[in-house]
Amino acid sequence: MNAIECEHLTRTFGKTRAVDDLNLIVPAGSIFALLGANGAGKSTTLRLLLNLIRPTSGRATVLGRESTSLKKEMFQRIGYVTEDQALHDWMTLDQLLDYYRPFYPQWDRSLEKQLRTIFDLPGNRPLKKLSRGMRMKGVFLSVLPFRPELLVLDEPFSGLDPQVRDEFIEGLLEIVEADRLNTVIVSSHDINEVERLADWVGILAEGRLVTAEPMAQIQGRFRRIEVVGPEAASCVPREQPAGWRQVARPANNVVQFVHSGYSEGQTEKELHAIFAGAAVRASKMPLREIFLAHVRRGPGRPETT
Amino acid sequence: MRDIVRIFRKDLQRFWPFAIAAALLAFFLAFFPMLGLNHANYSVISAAESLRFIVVGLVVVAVVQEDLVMSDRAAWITRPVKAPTMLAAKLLFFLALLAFPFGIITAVGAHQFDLGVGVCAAIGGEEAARLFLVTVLFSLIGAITSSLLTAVVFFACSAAVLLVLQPYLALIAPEGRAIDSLDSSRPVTLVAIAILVVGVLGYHYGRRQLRRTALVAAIALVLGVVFANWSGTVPRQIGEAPRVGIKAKQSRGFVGAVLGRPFPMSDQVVIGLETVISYPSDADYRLFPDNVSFISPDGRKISQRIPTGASIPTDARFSSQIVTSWDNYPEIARSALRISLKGRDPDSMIPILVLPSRIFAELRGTRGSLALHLSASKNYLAARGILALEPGATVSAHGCRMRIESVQFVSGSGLEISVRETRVESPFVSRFFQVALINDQADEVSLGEYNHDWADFALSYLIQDSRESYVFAHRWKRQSDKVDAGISSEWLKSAHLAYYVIGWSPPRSGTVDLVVPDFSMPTVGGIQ
Repeated sequence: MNAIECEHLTRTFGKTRAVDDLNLIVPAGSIFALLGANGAGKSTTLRLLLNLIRPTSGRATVLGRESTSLKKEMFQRIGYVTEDQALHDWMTLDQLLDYYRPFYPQWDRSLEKQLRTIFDLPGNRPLKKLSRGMRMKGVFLSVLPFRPELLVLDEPFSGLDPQVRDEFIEGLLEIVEADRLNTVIVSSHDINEVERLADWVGILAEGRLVTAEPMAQIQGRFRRIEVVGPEAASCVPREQPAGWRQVARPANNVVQFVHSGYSEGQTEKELHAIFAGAAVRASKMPLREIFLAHVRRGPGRPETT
Repeated sequence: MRDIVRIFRKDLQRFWPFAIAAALLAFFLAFFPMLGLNHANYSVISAAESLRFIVVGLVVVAVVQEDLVMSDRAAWITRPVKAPTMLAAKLLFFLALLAFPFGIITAVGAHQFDLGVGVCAAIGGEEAARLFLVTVLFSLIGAITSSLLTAVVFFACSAAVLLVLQPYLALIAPEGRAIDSLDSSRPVTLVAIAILVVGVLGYHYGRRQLRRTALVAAIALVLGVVFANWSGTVPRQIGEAPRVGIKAKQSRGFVGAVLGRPFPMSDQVVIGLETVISYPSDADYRLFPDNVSFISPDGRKISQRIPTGASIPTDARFSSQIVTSWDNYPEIARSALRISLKGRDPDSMIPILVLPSRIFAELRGTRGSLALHLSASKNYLAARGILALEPGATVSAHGCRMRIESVQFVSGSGLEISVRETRVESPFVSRFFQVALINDQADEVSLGEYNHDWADFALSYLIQDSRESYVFAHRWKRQSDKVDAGISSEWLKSAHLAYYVIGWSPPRSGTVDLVVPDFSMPTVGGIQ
């Protein structure tokens, strides 16, 4: 069962293809991080999924429903948090929650109470008088208590200080671990934060999907390789093998590159065959570097979907 | 329904002070004559009138933009709120806090004029319908824009488009018909337009796509124009009224007019209608030329709109004739005052086409089609009574009130009575006062003649307030055509002031064709 499925989803603004032929699957129960540089199409994708804008072509289903026909009942199952949402800023948090609560029959008052304790928010001050971080916490507080089956977070950490980010992530993980949330899709360019949170990752570049796979898988197949051996630089094949990226030769006896198809043991064996007698060192890459390796390579055919 | 009430309560929580401000303005405008404000405060009234629409417009746009429609930042779009629910909540707010209070205040304001509950309710309903139309129009603007500033800019642009559209509508109107405005004083038209706009709004809330909304709005506009054309007051043919022909004078019981002779002015020529006074025995009809167009054989079209009751322009006011207020109402004068009144001088002329001399010289002798659009109305006597001839004397009638402010003799042996008249401004109240001095001893009647130098005229959306003067300078001998000049204080001692309340039925209109006969330019007073 997939929470989200996109087929050839495309959205253009004039001549700009903000989302270009997107085929994406977000498995139910996953925390899916949608990564990309500014303008990569992350927010547009999420807005398409929530029917805030309509696709130019292609289609998407959200919790089994066509995205273009999401109705009231569906939005009782979907929570959406974005950094620039136009809230009723004149309301206090208490008023905001009082207003939203009746729209959700499944609203969990105990979870609301629990979250209020975690987020430590004043209930009697207008939202416009709260700091950006507190305001975002307020938005979370208006979304999480109805236990959305799908939680869509669009740049939720943008503009927040590290302490507030940590509180967010801790709070979110706490809820997820308590099995109170089903699927989360989060778009962000704060990769370090997302890495702690997500178990699936999708990377967008120039509106196209570069890759989408489980976090463990992408972290497992990406390695920074360093080969040190006599005349190693001259042993680099003219036709670079599949999976090699950003090949560098800092010295005559050193070759460095990113391997996107790393397989423990097998890769070392292949490299020893190329660089006879050389020492091969494969080091794990943080998500940030994996992302950069993808983005610098540019959009192309998805490696894995 | 619960969701509608929730959203309504939320909006109420934020915008109630603005709604109260709008209602207070309506209260002020509905009751201003009773608040002791002077006519000199006309500028205050007009400012408040404008302010009312500004306040209403701002409230409506702000309420709509509280839950943005076009912006993908809007929170409600990703919440379990149906678009029709959101729209219904907004409309409920406008109905409950703007249209309904305005209607109630208007009805209560009108009730002071002894109109009866039914008429007051109709007047209030009309005002509520008008305001509701305004709110839905503003809602549309608020819904397709995402800030108050852009709404104001959009409104200015819309006003500019309307300014262009109105002449265009007049241009495409069939010959003799006039569609120069989609607005109308009739509640049914207001409601019909409001329904069309609400339809566009509903579509816009559901789709949130500007281009498609524009397309639907264009279709609604066409429907509106068709409706205005179909239901407007202008296009209907006059049933029992008169046909206009060049042999009208020979028709028995004919109400109508014949084309008059050209009347040369210093720099222009007036072509007029000579009125025909062979009224049907059971009715009192008048005809007003509203607009006229002449198409000459060479295809040249000359169109003019003639204001109702237009007179030949001259600086020497009243020098050529005295305009008697009773002039237009011979039936009433005959029946109520039992005097023989010829009504309008058969040789008098209502100007229908004013041509510069140069153009007339070019058209002289040509024959062409003259399309004439006429309105007809029926007057009747609604009430009558005696009023004390002294300052402060007041009489109220159905929807109107008159108070004598001064009584004085003026030069030329005339008596001038200045009055303040207050009327409810509504198509449901079509009545006004006429006054006459009746001396039963001498069996003479002096008719109030308009002193057109009235001033201090104030008009709000509900109340029309004016100061006018009647001059009594002639005495009619009853049952005869004899008229003597002058009112003496001796004559006045045995006279009393009678008032008559005149009502009229709504005007109806028709279009007729006349063939313009060959003109030969007369020479009058040395001016050709």
